Amino acid sequence: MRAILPALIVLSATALSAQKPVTPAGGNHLMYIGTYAGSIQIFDEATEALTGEIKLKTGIPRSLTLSQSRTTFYVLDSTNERIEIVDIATRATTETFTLSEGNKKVRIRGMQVDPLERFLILLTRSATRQIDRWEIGDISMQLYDLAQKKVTRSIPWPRGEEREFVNIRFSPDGKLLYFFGDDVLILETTNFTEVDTWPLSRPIEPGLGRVNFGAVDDFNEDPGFFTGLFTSQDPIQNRRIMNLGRVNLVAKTIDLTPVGPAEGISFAMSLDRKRAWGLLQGGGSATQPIGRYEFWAFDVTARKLISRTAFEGRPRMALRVSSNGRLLYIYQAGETIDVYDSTSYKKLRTIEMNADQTTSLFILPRK
Amino acid sequence: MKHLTPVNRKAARVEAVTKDVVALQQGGPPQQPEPPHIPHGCSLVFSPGWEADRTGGTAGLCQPVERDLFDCHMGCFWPAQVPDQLNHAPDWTAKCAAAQKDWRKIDLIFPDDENKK
Repeated sequence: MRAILPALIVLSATALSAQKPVTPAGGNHLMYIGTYAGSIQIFDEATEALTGEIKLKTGIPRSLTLSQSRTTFYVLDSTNERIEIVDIATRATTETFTLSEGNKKVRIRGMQVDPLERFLILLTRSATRQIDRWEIGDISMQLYDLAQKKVTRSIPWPRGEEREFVNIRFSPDGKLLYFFGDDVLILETTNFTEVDTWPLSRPIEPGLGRVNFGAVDDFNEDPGFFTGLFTSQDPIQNRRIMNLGRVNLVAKTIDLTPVGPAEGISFAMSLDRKRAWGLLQGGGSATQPIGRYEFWAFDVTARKLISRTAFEGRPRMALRVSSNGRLLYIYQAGETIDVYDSTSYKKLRTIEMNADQTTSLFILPRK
Repeated sequence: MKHLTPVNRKAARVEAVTKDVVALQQGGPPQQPEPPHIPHGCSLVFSPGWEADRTGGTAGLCQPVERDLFDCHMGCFWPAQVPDQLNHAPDWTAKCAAAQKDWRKIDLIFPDDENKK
């Protein structure tokens, strides 16, 4: 047995190091995804093999939020009660915290990370267990100071408008907070008072109608920008138009190009921002029956819809573009990631995981 | 008058084939039978294992379909059809990370177990 054990160890090490690159490969980045095993699993894009795992102290992750510096994951756990901060380079947890205490449970419904990582803004609602009932608290926005490691203040609802869900963004320097509603309210991040408004509820040019945000991709964008699909109402023809556009938050501008009638599709852009792809997933309506799945390809530079290609997809899909733009990864829900060629749309292979996915897929350079 | 009467041979053949020619001005023939009324979501009825997509079928359910068990457990913590993770059974899936592969390993939960917690 003593002789066999070292041999087995050598064999295992050889097997791990002998992972062959796949062809065509999606690039040379690493793929990070949260799983039901209570971990973030790490796959090598070149070999599509599992190469590492970050075991989470808070169990199953519900969502991963990447810091603007791309060095840290802020993990919200599956109970919505705990946040775990993970350093990506060392693959280690640096902090965990919860706002719950005693008989009071505080569920965190949303989180936004300050670009300078001074604080988190948490959307919370509490439930306090009394002897005969649960008392449900007001929904509130709270500021968690990352240095002091505690909630230091509540942020008043802009214009007193309380929301169940909020969509907020920061300016790249962290000085301004954009609170998306009918209009975009702009707050400074010292005292969180309103300093400006972006009246998006009004047409950005005569005759265009109101613009609504659809699927956008800010993962492969510069901070403060996002590119994606926006819908506008054509008041003459009474129809919704799909636009490919880019938002500049700081300048408060949207650059739009109409590409056709509006349809509900997702949007993911390549790293070089020249191409983007969307997924149409039939949900059972008359125009989009269940089983109708299409890849849409966009030329982001020329602002054109290039093609629509039907394929045999699966219910519940999310899309990421490989780091070199040659492959499309279809993931979500189960324990598989289907790999498609981004030109022919042929399914090339499937990456088998050993646990179901619970979060978005992040593709990041090696550290 | 609801139905048309054929006045030439071609129309007669159409009627012979279709059996039921309906005047267009009547709003057209019923194209599809009324769809079944399916309560949307799994929290409206108590029927373990019950779930249907919006058309009453199963083609639109999650794939793999076993994953729906997990999502009812974790995401749908309302009066779900499976033990809820938030309040009563946080470890129900602790031995089963991949629903499709090892769903048999999910824990058994009995009312007595819950009362002890």
